[in-house]
Amino acid sequence: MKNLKFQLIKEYMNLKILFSSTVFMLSIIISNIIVNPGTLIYINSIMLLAIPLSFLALAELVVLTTGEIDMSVGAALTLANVVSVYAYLRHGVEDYRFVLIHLIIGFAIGLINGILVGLLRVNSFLGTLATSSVWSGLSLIVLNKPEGPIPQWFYRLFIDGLWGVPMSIIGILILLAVWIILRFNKILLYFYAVGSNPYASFIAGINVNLVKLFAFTLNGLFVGIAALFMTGIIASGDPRIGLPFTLSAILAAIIGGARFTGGVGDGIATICAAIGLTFMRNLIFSLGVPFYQQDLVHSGIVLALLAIIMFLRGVK
Amino acid sequence: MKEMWRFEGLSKSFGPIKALEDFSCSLEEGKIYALVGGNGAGKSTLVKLVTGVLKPDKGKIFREGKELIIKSPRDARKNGIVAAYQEFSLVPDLPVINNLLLNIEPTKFSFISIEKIISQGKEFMERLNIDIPLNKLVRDLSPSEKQIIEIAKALILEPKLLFLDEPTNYLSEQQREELFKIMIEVKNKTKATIVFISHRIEEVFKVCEEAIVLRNGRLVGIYDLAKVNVDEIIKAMVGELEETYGVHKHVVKKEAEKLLKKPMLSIKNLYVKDKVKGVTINVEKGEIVGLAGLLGQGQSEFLRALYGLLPYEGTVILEDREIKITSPRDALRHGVVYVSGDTLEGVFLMRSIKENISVVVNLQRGLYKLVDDDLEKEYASKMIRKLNIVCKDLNQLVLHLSGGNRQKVYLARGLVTNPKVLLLDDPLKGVDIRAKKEILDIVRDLAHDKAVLFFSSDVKELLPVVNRVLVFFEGKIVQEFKGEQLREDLILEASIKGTTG
Amino acid sequence: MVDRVSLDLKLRLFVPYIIFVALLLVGQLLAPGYLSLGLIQSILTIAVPLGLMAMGETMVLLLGGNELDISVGDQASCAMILSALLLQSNPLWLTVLVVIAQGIVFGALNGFGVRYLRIPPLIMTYITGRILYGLSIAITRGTPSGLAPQELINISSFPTITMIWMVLSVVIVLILAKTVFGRFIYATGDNPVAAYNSGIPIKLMGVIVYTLSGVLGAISGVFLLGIFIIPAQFGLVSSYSLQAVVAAILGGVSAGRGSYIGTIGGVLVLTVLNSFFTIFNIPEAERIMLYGITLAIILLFYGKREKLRK
Repeated sequence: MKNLKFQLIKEYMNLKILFSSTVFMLSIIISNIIVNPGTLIYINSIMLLAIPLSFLALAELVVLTTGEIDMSVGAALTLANVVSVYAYLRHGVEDYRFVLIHLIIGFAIGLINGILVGLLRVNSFLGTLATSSVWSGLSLIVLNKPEGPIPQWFYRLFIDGLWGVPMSIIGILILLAVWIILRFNKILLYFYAVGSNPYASFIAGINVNLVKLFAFTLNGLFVGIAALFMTGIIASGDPRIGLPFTLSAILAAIIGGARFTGGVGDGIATICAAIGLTFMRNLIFSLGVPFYQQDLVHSGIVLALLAIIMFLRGVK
Repeated sequence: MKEMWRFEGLSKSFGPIKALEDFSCSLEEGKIYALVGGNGAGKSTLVKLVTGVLKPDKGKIFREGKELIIKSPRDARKNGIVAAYQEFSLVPDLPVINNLLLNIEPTKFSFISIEKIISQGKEFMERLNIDIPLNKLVRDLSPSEKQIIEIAKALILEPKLLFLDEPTNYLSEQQREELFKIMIEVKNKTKATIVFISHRIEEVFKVCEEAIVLRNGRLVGIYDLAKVNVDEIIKAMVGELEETYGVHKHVVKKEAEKLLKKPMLSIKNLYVKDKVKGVTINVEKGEIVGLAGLLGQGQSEFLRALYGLLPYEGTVILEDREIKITSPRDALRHGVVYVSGDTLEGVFLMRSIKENISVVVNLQRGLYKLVDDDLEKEYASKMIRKLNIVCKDLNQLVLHLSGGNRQKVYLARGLVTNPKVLLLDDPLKGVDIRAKKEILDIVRDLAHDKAVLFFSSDVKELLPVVNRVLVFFEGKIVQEFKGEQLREDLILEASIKGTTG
Repeated sequence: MVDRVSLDLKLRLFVPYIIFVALLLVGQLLAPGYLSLGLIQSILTIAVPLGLMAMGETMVLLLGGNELDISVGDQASCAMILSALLLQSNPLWLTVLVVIAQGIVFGALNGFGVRYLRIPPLIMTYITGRILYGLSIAITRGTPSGLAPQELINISSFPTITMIWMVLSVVIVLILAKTVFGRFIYATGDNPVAAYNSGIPIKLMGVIVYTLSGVLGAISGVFLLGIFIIPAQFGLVSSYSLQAVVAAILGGVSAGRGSYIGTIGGVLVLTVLNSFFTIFNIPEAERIMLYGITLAIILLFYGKREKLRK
């Protein structure tokens, strides 16, 4: 019995994917330190920067496992950030509600996406691309340029930490907690089932559309948390902040084992991948790549990684 | 035993095709019924209607006299109606244990209790004496293991009405015996009603008490298996033999080549997935070889592999040269053409007749070439005439043609290139009688310089055109019929019995 | 029955033109003096880059329900910046060749990724778009520079540019309607299974179509430079990708059905709408939102997931 439990948990942990993802992350961090030992000094802030991407990647993961995709995570994060800061700057909202707004906006966006894709059965690729435009546009309407500051206490939180613990570590703890809770919840099983074989899920009595709706709602919640951390990092509201993150979030989830067709994907591996990708940006910077080449190199590496992964998977 | 289930007037049509018509019967509790019928009889449709997968056009379902409203598989399950499907309803990326308990996992506030789920699974597997590890992913299971889990998945729900659709296809002799034992045990202990579908008649007689016979979507009758014999059941399945199509039997106009002894097309030991298990056929030039047997015995897979749609193992020799076909493009290059009964995989509805017929010709000419309107018109008119395609003009969209005419266009497209090998995969399904006769006539006429393999789920279609008929059963050829023996009743019997002699 | 379907197809071609004319009238009503010869000329000029991008997009959309190229805007953006740079010390013909090379390289990359690596078109073309964006920043070291030379400005004004567009349009329409290649595009879009079964080389065709789309996108960037003279900020033109898609869909293009003739109508409609945005001072933010909402509404009627219970 003990043996079986251990074996089942091993299966649950998707060891192969976890291994390759951790290797990916560690090799990038180590290369980073080798190339630029100074990294060790500000490793904390890089880690902090990895937190929003990690949440976005998790958000992307839950949607990908059901066989759908969300092209609007970056834009959604932007909207949550911008609306909260707006509420503070123009309406003086500076208490716990400041935090709450992030989560509510994220949740609302997730709900809308979920209704569109889950209930109305719109194609998720194009549908979330469309909603992404809407969130982007709304962000620009709310704040047409970056503005600050943010509430003092929130700002200090990211400098001093929560009860002395740096926010980067708090972030990692929340990420781990979220994933572990999810892993043992039956809803994740339903995500996998729906992505892997929607017909079989239907026969088992699962409401496929509702499950997808739920996945998007959860996605929205994660985006809200990501936005929360982002707000703390940039200490302002920026209507263009989130856009480049969508692609990285998707890539992180793919490295974390997710497939465009759904049914697989591991949270820890995704988090490691997100951290790896964040350090990669720093690595590019440390290698002395001039700022004007950074976008190119970054996107190029994204493509190369994706191509390698798709190729290897195709070979199997 | 008391009556438990009653069906009244269940009907389902797909477009013009009536899959099930006015099915009414009642089933008792604690009994094992067989559901039998030939190709297209309506068995799968019936199962899917009752389990909530398909929406019936008409009809009611009653349990213990009370009407049931079944709007989804979930409703069906709630009422104790469960099925183990022929095509499996398993989630490949999840482990066995999760598949078994899908949607019925033991949870505490929606969190899976690992201890409980393992113990439940283990206990169940032990009870059924199944040896498959719970943590193995379904995608890594062998077909027979998958079959076992599919059945187990249904049993664990403790059903009151259980459908087993071809549950023995991948099981060994021993495993089948186990299954029968379990079926009887379940029936006795829980008084469940079991409906068993199998193409193996001996099994039906072994484990079932009564047989529900369907034919062409209608109920023929319910027979007490203790009182009738195999032939009577076969007769009920097959019905009265109607007139065959066409009058004269095909006589192969063989030229001197008959003495050459080398066949035009030689297929040796063909294996396709787990559907075709070592088939060897030699076809001479001008010969039309008919393939018969119940649906799903490998005939389709055999033909599709020869056209490059499925990977295969084995040797294919065409006109003395060995060839390997890996895609339809390959096949076409070698002069092998394939026509199936599913026009949707061969015909472009939104394109004109002219264009559809010329597709392969254009392919041979080259992508960069300009469309040669005159050439296309010439080919198209020739084919329209030859096949008697009913249409307004050759620019008409194929969408507007009737099923039979669409099928003719599909066929025409293949014939236009003057192929060496013609593979016909049940091409006359759903075609009206007159069109059938016309197509059969044409195939007969054009076969003189080709090797033709013709599979049909309706033996009547084969008889007027073939030289001989090979009966498929479970991926192998079990019997050959020629000359005097080319009789529908004999062939049907061999198809159902599946044995030689 | 025959007549109804082909009538429907022909009607689809007219709809965008009718909307176009209607919008012109609306514009005239809301802002008297709007409708003038000068306006028509300017529309026929500014529409060209979008027209070229939509040309490529049309072919991609025809190929299948899943197929999409959202790198066209970035092709144009990068080409615009690249040519501004090159034209400072190179002749026009050479610059155009380089730009075409850009189109070919990244278009083929799209095709390869989509067809051979099986990366979903939306993702693949999105990534290529980002690469082009990064490329444009890299080659100019962060500061776009250069101006359109007089030669280019002349070509990019009425009526020369419009005539070039018309010629290219005729070529594309002929290719689609009269060549085997064009026929096969429609066939593949109509029924990819039947296309494969008929031996049509769908992988090769995919690569060719995406390459063509890339080239057309790149060329449109050169024209953009000629029209606006100064190269745009990085990524500004990216939103054109979505517009190209909307223009084609408005023009009645879908998998296996439609024609570039309809797309031209869609392009004209969008150009007029853009002019409204400028005249009525609708800021960028609202524009982006409006495009998103429009696309979402179109999607509600087109291309949904199928029901599980039949």
